[in-house]
Amino acid sequence: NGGDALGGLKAALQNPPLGTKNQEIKIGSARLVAKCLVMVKEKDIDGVVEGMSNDDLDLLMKYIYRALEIAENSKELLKWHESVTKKAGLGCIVRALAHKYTV
Amino acid sequence: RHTHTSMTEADVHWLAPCITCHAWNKERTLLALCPNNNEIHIYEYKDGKFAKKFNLKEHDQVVTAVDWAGESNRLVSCSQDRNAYVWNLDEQGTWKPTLVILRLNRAATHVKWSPQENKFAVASGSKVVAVCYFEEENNWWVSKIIKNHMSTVLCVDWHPNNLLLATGSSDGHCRVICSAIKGPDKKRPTVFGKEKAPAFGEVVADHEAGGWIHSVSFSPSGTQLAFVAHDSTLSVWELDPAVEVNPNAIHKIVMKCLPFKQVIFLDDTRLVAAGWDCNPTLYAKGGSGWAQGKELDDPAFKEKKEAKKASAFDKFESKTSRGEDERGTTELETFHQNTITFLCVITRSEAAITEFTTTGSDGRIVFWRSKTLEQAFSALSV
Repeated sequence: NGGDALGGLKAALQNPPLGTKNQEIKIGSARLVAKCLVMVKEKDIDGVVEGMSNDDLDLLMKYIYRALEIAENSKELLKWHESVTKKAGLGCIVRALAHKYTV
Repeated sequence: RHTHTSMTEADVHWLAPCITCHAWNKERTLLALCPNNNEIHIYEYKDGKFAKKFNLKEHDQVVTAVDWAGESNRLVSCSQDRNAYVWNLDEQGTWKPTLVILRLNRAATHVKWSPQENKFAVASGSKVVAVCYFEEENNWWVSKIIKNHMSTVLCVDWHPNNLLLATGSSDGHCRVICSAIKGPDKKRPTVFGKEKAPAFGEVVADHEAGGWIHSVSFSPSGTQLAFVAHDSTLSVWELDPAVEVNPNAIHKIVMKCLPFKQVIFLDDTRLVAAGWDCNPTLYAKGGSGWAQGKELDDPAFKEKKEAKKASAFDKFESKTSRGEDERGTTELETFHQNTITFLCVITRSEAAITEFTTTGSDGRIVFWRSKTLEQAFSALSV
């Protein structure tokens, strides 16, 4: 909605559907986050990541993988992946893969 | 910046293509290890060198863990063949195996002698732990089964009181279970403020972490429990049997690196963990809790490897044998070239453990000596 990509992203990351088995909810949520991610200009990605907490980055990484599964913007998503990994390390990726309750 | 090192190449030994587990005898003169097959090799360690002395061949499949009872000088081994053997050294100097009927229908994953060495616990893929003790009248080892796990039990550790057992499982839970057995144990423990002493196999504390639990370790005083999970976290639970269980007294460290596979307390305020990053990492407890770790295998502490002037022959050789060229190398900067799979204590003074060894999937055993630990601890800001 307009120009506030960062605000939109933060909002999209609130209340992630971690516990539900309802695939529709999960896919809808992932599409929304993917849309917000893509709206952020590439040069701004590092800045956004820098301002996010470690817990948020763990959640974001889970969404990045989910979005890579269902959306088509792999180029942008991989740029986000690179940026998040640089800040949060391989541990963040491991958590995205290992956690039982995920997006 | 340190310009000299306390670690030398002499502290690294390459004994096999891959090592699954290892254990030292009490005097630290003998080392038992499994080279990722069904055998147990015993090496004599003298004057800084290893010499292979025995090859114990009884198991049919990979030996997943060995533990050496220091006082009674007995070895226990467990394997993917679902069996455990207790090994005794006879007067002729041969290691004699005694089969222990565990009644498992899946692989054994881990084994540990209890502190008093009158029992041992075997973790298994059949979602149970077999606690074994010796029955004098029948002259054999009897196993008692602990259930209560929803998936493979990956690791066990005994509480210093010889009565409680911590387990880690691939169901993501870290549990403390009563393992007091009538016979070897004089009494059942009244623990965690409960009125009635728990029965054998009863779970007295339970926590769900974010992934498989690879290793659990009680602190020497038995008031803390550390566990490492596959979601790259290290947690320390303030768990004193003298008081009620506080499920929130868990300090969780979320790591940036790859998960740990092993964790051991060095003393009540220090622990070391190692795993897929091939680098043992120290953690110290200060006023505000447990601080972020310090990696022991720090290139800054090492002698600068002499710049390898690759000869023409070396370049050609690496190109043909490994498809490498001088642009890239797969060699890691750490002493271990592959996952650290096992951590074993060497020197334990009154106050703390001051030296330990690690073995890994690279087949190396590395000694981490007190000077290295001290250097690293002083670099840790707590």
